[in-house]
Amino acid sequence: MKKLNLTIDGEEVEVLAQKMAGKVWLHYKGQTFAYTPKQNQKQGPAGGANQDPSQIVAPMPGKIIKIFVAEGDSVAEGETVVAMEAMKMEYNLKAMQNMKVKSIKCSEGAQVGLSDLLVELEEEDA
Amino acid sequence: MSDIKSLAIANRGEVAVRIIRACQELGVESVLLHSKADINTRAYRMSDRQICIGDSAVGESYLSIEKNVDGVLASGADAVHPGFGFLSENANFAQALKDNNIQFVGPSPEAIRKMGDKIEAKKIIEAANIPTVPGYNGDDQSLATLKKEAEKIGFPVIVKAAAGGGGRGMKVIQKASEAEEMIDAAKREGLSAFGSEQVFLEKYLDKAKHIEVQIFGDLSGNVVHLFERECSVQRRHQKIVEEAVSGSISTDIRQGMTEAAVKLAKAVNYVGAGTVEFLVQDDAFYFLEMNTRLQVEHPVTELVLGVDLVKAQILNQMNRFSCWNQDLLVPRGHSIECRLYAEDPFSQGIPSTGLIGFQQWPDGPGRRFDFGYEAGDEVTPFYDSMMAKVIVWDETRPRAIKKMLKTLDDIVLFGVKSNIPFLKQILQHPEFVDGSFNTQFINQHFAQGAHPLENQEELEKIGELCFDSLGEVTQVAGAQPSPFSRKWSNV
Repeated sequence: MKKLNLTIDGEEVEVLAQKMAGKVWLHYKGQTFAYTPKQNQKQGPAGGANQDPSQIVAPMPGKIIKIFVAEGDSVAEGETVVAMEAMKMEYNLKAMQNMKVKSIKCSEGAQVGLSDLLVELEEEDA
Repeated sequence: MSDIKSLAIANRGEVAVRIIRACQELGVESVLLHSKADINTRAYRMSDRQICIGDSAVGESYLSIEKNVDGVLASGADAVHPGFGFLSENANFAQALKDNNIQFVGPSPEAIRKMGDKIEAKKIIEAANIPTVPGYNGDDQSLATLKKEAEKIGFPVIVKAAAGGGGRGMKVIQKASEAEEMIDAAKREGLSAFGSEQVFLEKYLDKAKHIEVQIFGDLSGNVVHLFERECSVQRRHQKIVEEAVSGSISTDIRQGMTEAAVKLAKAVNYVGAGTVEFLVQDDAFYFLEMNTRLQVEHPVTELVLGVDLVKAQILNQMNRFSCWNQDLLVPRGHSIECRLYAEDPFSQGIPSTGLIGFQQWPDGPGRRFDFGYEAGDEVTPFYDSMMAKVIVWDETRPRAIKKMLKTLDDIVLFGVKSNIPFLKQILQHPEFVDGSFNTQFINQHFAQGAHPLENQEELEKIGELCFDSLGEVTQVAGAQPSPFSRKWSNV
């Protein structure tokens, strides 16, 4: 942790900051904020929601509790595809739109990491 | 009941630290029963002795009766404090300790068995004429029966694991079509967290307040109540903000609930600290459950009454406790607790794990920080995401809110995301400020989690400036060694 004196819009401010694992953590005027610098951003938003509807990815490290679908199944928007558990809470990962299950990349009981691909979906008529 | 020279702690994190502090003040040796993952924690460093009882997964350590009992026997401790969660309400654990002549800081296995089984508890409470929420608590656990009973009660219906608690193994069924999914999920969570898939159903009160009464029983059969706590700010039945006393219940309701709580404790010959939870709606109260253990939110009671519940628990076990006089227990001022969860408040509370790079607790009058990690420690995905608790006391509720906001502003926590921005939004919400909030508060006002930051762009700009000013990081990203690593590298 370092105390930095920065000039922002002509104003002299004090910021506490630390670089960790590709991010800058800062504390400024009562707010703590984790910032991914521009040069690291192309790796994709770590921990953020995946916007590609054809990929169900793990939003956190954890354990796969149940897989509700099989390859070739149709899934409806909002239907739970996989249930996973982290920090003793269960989370349901749902389909973002009506699609078909192309392949299943995880198994029940398995530990998965952040952003691991769990289930691959494809367009219904593909 | 006899003297305790050495106390084993069958728990982890901030509550283990809380119990160690009590041991230190009482001159009792503390022995931490910990998992492999918890070597880099504050409780490990603070305890007098440490016994590793197993692997990181809870089933291999904190939830294993056999491993905990073996750990206590190996350590030679006289007694065990179970904290909360894990085996704290497990009658078989209390029984196993008793069978091995180890004292358990808590009620008898019989009292735990009766109250810990929510179905059994409901039967006792009905016999004592204390109102309960309509529901189904039958032995027929078939899906067809549960679905039929849920329809009979009328939606929304809540399905709960009979052995559950702490928000796990509970699901709300809004409509008939969701019944199967929710019942299955509650059964699974119950089985994985508590080892039983027995569930029961209850009418879901849609605008109730969650108010609970702290009680304490001594060895001579005296039972006192230590007033109530309001815990209506909940997300997925997990409490986030708690207060003592409630700012919004009538004197009649308070009197009715505290009397009912004492009556119930006496009915099961309750010894030690316990909590009777109620739902309050339309000026009526309903029994919810009794927790036969210390609660996470016990500090707010400690601050308004000037008591030490953990020391009282241990002294009571040693038969050196003279129970408080009920008439002398008078709450003063107002106390608020905020639970700090390791999560991303802007991504619907997804857990956040990782290494803590730096943390700073801004202490001051009427501020208390119960925390389990220090800089260099790693928050792992194996356990509950509660990292710490921030508790404040001030003379009035508005001042306590203001103090909490200032305290949260000045906490610095680098390396793991926390719900602090969310907590600040909750504390400033008009419904929280005027006290009218109920258990639907989060669902109604924060369904997507915390609202986005208003000054996101400003913070990003500052982030970029900081990145430029900080220069190169000397350590390998993500592989910063713990300053305590030398302590355990040869374990």
